[in-house]
Amino acid sequence: MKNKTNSRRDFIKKSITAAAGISIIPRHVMGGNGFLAPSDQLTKAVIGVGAMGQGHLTYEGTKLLAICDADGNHLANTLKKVGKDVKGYRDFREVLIRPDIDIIHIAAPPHWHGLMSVMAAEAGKDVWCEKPMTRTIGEGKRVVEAMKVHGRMFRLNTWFRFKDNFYGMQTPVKNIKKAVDSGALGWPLKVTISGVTGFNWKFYWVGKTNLTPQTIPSNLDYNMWLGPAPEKPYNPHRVHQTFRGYWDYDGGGLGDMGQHYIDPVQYFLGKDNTSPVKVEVDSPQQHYDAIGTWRKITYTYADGCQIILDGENKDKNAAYIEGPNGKIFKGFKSTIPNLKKIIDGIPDPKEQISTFSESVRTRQKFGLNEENGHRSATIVNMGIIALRLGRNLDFDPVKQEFINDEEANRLIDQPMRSSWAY
Amino acid sequence: MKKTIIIISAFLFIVFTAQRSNAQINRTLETKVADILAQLPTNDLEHSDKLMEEIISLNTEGILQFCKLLVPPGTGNDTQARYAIESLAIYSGGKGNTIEKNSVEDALLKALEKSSDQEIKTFLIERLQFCGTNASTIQLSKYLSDKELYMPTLATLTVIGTPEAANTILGATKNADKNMQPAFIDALGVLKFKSATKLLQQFANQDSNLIKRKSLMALAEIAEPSSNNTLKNATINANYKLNGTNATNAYIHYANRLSENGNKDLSTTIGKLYLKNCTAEDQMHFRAAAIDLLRKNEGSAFIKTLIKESQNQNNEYTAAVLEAASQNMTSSEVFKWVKTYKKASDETKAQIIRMLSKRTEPEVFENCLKLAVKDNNEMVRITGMKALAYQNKDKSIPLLFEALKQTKSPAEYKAIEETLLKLCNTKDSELLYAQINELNNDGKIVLINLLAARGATSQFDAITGLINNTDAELNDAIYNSLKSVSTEDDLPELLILLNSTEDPQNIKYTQQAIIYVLDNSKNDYSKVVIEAYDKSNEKGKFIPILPSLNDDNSLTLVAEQLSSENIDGKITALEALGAWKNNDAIPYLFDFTSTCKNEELHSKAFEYYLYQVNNSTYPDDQKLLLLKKIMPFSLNTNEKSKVIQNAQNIKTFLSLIFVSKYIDNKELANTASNAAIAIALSTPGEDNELSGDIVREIVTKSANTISGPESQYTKIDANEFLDNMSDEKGFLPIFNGKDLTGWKGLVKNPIERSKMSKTELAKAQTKANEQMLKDWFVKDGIIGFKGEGYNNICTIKDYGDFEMIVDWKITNGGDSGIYLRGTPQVQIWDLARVDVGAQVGSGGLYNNKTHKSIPLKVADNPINEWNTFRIKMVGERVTVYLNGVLVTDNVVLENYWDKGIPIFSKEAIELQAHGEDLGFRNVYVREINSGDVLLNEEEQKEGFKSLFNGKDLDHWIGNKKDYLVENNELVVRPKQGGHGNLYTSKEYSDFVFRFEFKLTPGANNGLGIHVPLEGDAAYVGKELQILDNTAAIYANLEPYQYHGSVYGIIAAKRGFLNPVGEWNYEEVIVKGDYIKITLNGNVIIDGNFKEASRNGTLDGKEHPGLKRNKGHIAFLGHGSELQFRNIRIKGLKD
Repeated sequence: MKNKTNSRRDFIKKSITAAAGISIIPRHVMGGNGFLAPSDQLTKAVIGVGAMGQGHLTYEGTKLLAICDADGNHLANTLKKVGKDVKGYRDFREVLIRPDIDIIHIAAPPHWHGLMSVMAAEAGKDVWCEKPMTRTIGEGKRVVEAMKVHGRMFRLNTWFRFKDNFYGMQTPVKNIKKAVDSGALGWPLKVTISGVTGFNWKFYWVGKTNLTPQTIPSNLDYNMWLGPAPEKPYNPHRVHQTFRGYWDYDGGGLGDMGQHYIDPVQYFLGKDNTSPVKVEVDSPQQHYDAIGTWRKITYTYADGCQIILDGENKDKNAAYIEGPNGKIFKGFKSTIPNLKKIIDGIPDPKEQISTFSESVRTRQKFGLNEENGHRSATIVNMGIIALRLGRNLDFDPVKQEFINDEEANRLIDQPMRSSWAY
Repeated sequence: MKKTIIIISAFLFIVFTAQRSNAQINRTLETKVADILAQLPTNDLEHSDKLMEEIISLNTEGILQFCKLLVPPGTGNDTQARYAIESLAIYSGGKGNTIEKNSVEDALLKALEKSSDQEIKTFLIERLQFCGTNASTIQLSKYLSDKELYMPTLATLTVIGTPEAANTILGATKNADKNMQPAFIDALGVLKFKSATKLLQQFANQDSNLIKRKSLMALAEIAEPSSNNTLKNATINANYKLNGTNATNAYIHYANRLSENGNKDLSTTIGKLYLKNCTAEDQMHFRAAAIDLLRKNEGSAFIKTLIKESQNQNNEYTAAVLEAASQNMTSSEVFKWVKTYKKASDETKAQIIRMLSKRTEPEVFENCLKLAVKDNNEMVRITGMKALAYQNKDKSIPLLFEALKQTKSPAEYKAIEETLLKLCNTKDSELLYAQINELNNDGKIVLINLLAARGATSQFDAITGLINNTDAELNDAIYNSLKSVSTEDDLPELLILLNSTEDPQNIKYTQQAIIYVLDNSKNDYSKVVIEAYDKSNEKGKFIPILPSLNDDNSLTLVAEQLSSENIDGKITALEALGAWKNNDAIPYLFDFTSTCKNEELHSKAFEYYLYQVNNSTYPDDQKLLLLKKIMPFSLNTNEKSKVIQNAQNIKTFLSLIFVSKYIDNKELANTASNAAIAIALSTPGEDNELSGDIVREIVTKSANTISGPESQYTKIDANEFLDNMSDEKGFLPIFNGKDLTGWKGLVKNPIERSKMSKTELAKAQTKANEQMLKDWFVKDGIIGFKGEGYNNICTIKDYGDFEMIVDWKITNGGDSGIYLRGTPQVQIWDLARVDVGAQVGSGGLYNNKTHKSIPLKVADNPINEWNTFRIKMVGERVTVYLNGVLVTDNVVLENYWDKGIPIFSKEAIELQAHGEDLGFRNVYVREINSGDVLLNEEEQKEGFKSLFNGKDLDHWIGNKKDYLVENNELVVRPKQGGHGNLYTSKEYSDFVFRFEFKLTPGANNGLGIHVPLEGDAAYVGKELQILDNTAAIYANLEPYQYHGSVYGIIAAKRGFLNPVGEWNYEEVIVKGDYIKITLNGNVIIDGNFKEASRNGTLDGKEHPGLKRNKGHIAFLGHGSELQFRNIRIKGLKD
C-alpha cells in the first residue's frame, strides 16, 4: 500500500515536469487502473459566488481552483477569502475549457442552470447544480440527455432524500420511505406540504411590479447575468438576493423551497421515473413579470396519489401523509400504533450514493441525479406553468407534455432571449 | 368537446352580457375599462376569467383601450393594464390542441403598430407568445431588423413555430446585421427548419467562430444528410476536440439527431469516426458519446465493441461504456458480460458487478457475484457484497454469512451489515441467530447489530446469553442492543443485569433498555423496580430509571440522592429530575439551581430546569413566570441567552416585553431580537401574532438589530408583519416603572365623587395625592405599598371596555385586589387566610352577591412569588386568568356602591391597599373599541339617526355578501367582481346624509339617491360618484365622472379627496331638486338637478331618475374594495 502511494507520487511529479504550465493534474490524466487514493483530491470551480455559491466553496472532498461571477464585487470579495491558487473569472466559458477542473458547481440563478449544465457536460465536466434544477421542463430534458451522451455525473443540491432530518417531520426520509413501503398506510397516499405539516412556504420571494429602470452598476455585467433570460430594464430588485421574485429567473417561493420539499416525496412515493398527470391551482391572478403568492397547488398521479401544497396552511388538521389505513403527521406522529416497530422490522431501502466525490470517483449515479432531479423539478415547473396560465393542466408523464393545451406546451420550452447567442 | 365548451361559454357570455348591459348599457367605454381595471389583480382565477370575457366583449376597440394605458417603465403606473393584457393574452390563447387566430391577437398587433416605445413593444410582442398564430408573422417580421426588438420577436416567432414563422425568420437571416445573426441561426436550429440548411452550410464556412459555432449546431439540430460534409470538415479542423467552433459537439449531436430521424447508417458512420479519432484523455467524453450513439443504433450487434472498450484504462470511460451496455441489455449479453468479468481489471470488475447486480439471470449470481465476494481485491469484494442486496434473498444471505466468516476488514463488516439490513426483516431473526456460533466475535457483533436494528425481541435470551464474554466490543454490542430487543417480560432480567454490570457504558445501555420497556408499557412496575432498588447496594444505578415510574415516592428517592455528598450522585439525581415526566421536579431543580455554587452542577441544573419548564403542562403565563424567576440566578451570558430562547416559545405580550429588555445588552442583542420577532409574528398555520404600538416598536428595533446568515429572511418577514399590522394601539403601559405618573390618590367612590362640587373634589384630590406619595412607592419597576391605611390609588384616565395585564405579589397574610371601573374587585389574598375564606384562591369577584364571586380554581403561586392576572372587561362582564388559568369566566361585576344600578360604563382602574406589603409590576391595558359610534351631542339634538352601529347591517337591505362589517367598519369586498348594491331599508326624499369613506387605489363606488331596488341606479335614480379619480386608470374621465359628481348630470369640483387610504368626510344635502355636497369641508357641488339638465344631460343620455324625488339611499358597487363608517341621516320631510 505504502509503496503504491509512493510510486503514484513519483508519477505525479514526473507529470508536472512534463506538462509545464498546468499546476494541478486533472484526475482523468491519472487513468491507470482507475485507482484513486483518498488523498487524490478532485478539483472544482464554482460559478456564481453571490449567495448560494458561498456554501459551495467549502464542500468537502474537492479542491477549489476557480470561481466565476458576473458581478465584480462578488468575485473580488470571494477571492479575498479563498486561497491564492484560486483564479477568478467573469465568463464561465473560460472556466469550462480549463482541462484541470473535474467538477463544475453551478450556483448561478436558475435561468442559467440548464444551459451551463449542458455546456459543462459537453466540455467533459461533472456537474453539481443548485436547486431548482432547471427553469423549464425542456431544459431539464436536455440536461438529462447531455449527461447520458457524455457519461457525466450530476448531483442536484438538495439532499433530504438521503440525509438529515426532513424539516418538520424531524426524522430522516429513510424512515418515511420505510413507513410507506411497509404498506401500513395503504394506497394511494395524499401528501400535504404546509406549515401545519412542518414545511413553511416562504412568500417573501415575491417580485415588485412597476419597477423604475436604474443605471446598471459598473461592477455588474448585466448582460452576462441575464444570459438566456429576456432583456428587461435593470433594477437592483431583479438581481442578486431578490431575483427569485421574477418568472424570468425562478419561481418565487415554489422555486426556492419546492424541490427541497417535493423531491423526497417523489422518492418515497416511488415516482422517480414519472410525473403527476394533473396539476390544479388556486391563486390570485399572476403578474406577467413579478411572481405573486398562491393558495393551493394540487398534483395528482395516475394511481391517485396526490401532493398538496397548501400555501395558506388552511387545512389545520392536515396529516403530512394520509392513506386509507392511516396517517402520519408533523413530527412523524402517526395514527398507526407501533409504527416505529413496523419500520424497524422491514428491510432498509436500497443504496443511494450520498457523497458526490464517491459518485465521481466510482462513476455511480449520485442519489439525487439528473434523472430523478429532473422529475422533481418538473413538478415545480408544472406548478409554475399552471400558476402563470391561471388554470388546471393535464400532463403526459411519458411524453412529458401537457395534454390538449398548446399554450401550456409553449411554456415547456419557453424561449428566453431567443437563445443566449454570444 | 371543444365545440361544447365554446357553445356553453358563448351561452354564458350572452347571459352575462345581457345582465351587464341591463345594468351598464349606457356607460362609456372608458368607464367600463376603468371598472374592470379597478378589479385587477383579481384574488382568484374565476374572477379573472370572467373579467377577460368582459374585456373580449368590448372588442378590439375595448382591448386597445387597455393597451393605450401602457406607459414606459418609470413614467407612471400601468400595473393594472399589464395584468389585464397578460391575462387577456393567456385567456384568448385558450386551452386546446392548437391556438387559433383571435381578437386579442388582432388587438395586440394593432397596439404594437401604434406604440412608439420599445419597452412597450417588447411587452406586447412577448404577450403574443401566448396567443400568437400565423396571423402575427407578417407584422412581426418588421421587427426582425430592429436592434432592440429582434430578440423578443425571434422568441415569439419561435414559439409560434409554424412553417410560416420559420420562413419569416429565414427570410430575415441572410441580410441580418452580423451582430444579430447568431440569434437568427439559433432560432432556425430550434425550429429544425430544413429549408435553412443551405444558408447555414454557407454560414458554417464563414470566418467568424461565433457564426460558425451557431451554424454548425443549428445544422446538427436540423439534421439534413447533406450537412454531413460541412460538419465533418469542421470536426476534422477541430481535431475532434473541444474548440471555439464547438464542432465536435455539434457533429455528434448531428449523429444523434440522424439516428432519431431513422438515418442509422450515416449516424453509425459518424459514431465510428469518433471511435477512430477520439483516443486522447481530453477526447474520452466524445468517445463515450459515440459509444452511447452506436449502442443505440446497433443494439446487440455492438456487444463485441462494448466488451473491448470496457477494457480501456480510463475508468470514467469504461463506466460510460457499461452505462451504454446496460441500456436494453438482453440475457445473451448478460452471459457475455459474465464471461468478460473474469478477465476484467479490478475497477472494471466492480463496474460490471454494479451493472449486472439487478439482473436475475442465474449466471450473474453463480459466475459473477459468488466469485466477487471472494475476490482478492477488497473493493471488488465489497462491490459484490453490496450487489447481493438486489439478488434473491435466500441465496444471498448464506453467501454473506460465508463472507462474514472469512473477512477481517472493517469496511467489509460494514458492507455485509448494510446489505443484510437491506435484505432482512424481523421474521429473519431466527435464521440470523442460527449462525451465531459459526462466527468470530466481529461477526457476532454484526449479527447482534442486525438483530437490534430489526427489533428481534424473540432473541433476547439468546443475545443476553452471550454476555460474560471476554471481548469488550462484543459485550458493548450486546448491551447496546438491549433497548431494541427487550419487552416487559424481560424486566426482571434487565434489573438483575443492571445490578450486576460494572461497565459505565453498559450500565447506561441497560438503563435505556429498562426506561424503554417502562415507558412503553401500560402496566405499573413500580413495585418490582423499587424492590430491586431497595435490595441493591448500588442505588445510584437505579436513579435514572425512576422518572419512568413518575410517582411521588420515586421523586422523594431522587431528591434524597440530590442532597447526597457525592458529586456523581448529585449529577445522577439532576439527570433524573431533568427526565421527570410531570411538573413536579421543577421546584427541586429551582431550589438546587438557586443555591448551587458549583459551576458545572449549576449549569446542568439550569439546563434541566429550563427543559422542564419548557415541557411542563403549565399555561404560558406560568411558564414565563418560572423563566423570569430563574433569570437572576443565571451565572453567565450563555445561561441568560438560554432563558431568552426558552421565552421565545411563549407567544404572549409579557414574554415579548421580557425578552425585549435584553435587546440593548450587547451580548444578548441578537438572541433577544430573534426571540422578540419569533414571539410577535405568527407561527405557520396559526393566527397568533401580536399587535399594537409596543409590539411595533419592539419588532422594528429587533429587525434593525438582528444579524447573521438567516437574518435577511427574518427581516423580510418582520417588515411584512409590520406593514400588515392594524393600527390599533394594543396594550399600553399604565405604569412607567419609574414613578406614579398617570396615577392619583383615590377620593371616596364614584357615586360620592359625582355628588361633590368641582372645588370640593379638587381639594380632596390634592389631599389624596399627598397621601398616595406617603403610602405608595416605586422601586425596581415595582409599585409597592408601605402604608398602614386603606388608601387605594387609581388611574387618572377612565376605562370602559378593556383588557388588562398585571403581575402581583403579596407577603404573608396579604390581601388586596384590583378595582375595575372604580368598583371592587378582582380579589388577591393569601390562601392561608382560611378564616376569611381565602382558600378558594385569588381572581374571584369577591364583592359579588348575586353572581359568582368564587374563582373556578385555585391557581395562586406561593406567597412572595409573582402572579400574573389577565383581566378582560366588556360591558358588565369580567373574565380573569390567573397564571394562565381561567378563574372567572365572563361573570357580571355587580355595582358594589349601589346594588340597584348596573356597573358604571367608564371609570378608573384602582389598585387596592390593605395594610400589608404587596407589589405590582407590568401593568398594561388594551382599550377595546366596542365600535358603537354614537352620534355627537349636536347631532343628537338636531335629530340625526345613526344608520350603522359598527356591528350589523340592521338598517340595510341588498347585497350583504360583499358588504361586510369588519373592525366596526362597513367594508366592501367584492368577491367575483359583483356589482351589488346595499340599500337603506327605508326610502328618503329630502335629507342630510353624512358618512365617512376610505378608498383603495382606483376604487369605484357610488352613492345612489332616490333609487329603486332595480336597474342602473345612475339612470333610474341618481348616482353621486365615489371614486379614486387620482388613479392613472381614470386619466381620461369626463368631468361628470369625477368624485362627487351627479353622474352624467352635474360635474363636481375636483381636488378635495384626501390621499388614498385616509378617511374622507362627506355630507350630502338633498332638498327637492337642490343638491349640495361637502367633501372634507369643501363644497364640491351646489346645484339643481332640473336646471343642470334643462338643455340635456351632460352625458347626453336619458336619466328617468331625474323625475324621482324619493327612494332608497344606496352604496352602488362597481367591484372595488373600500370602507365606510359613521353613517348618519336626518330626514328633512318625513
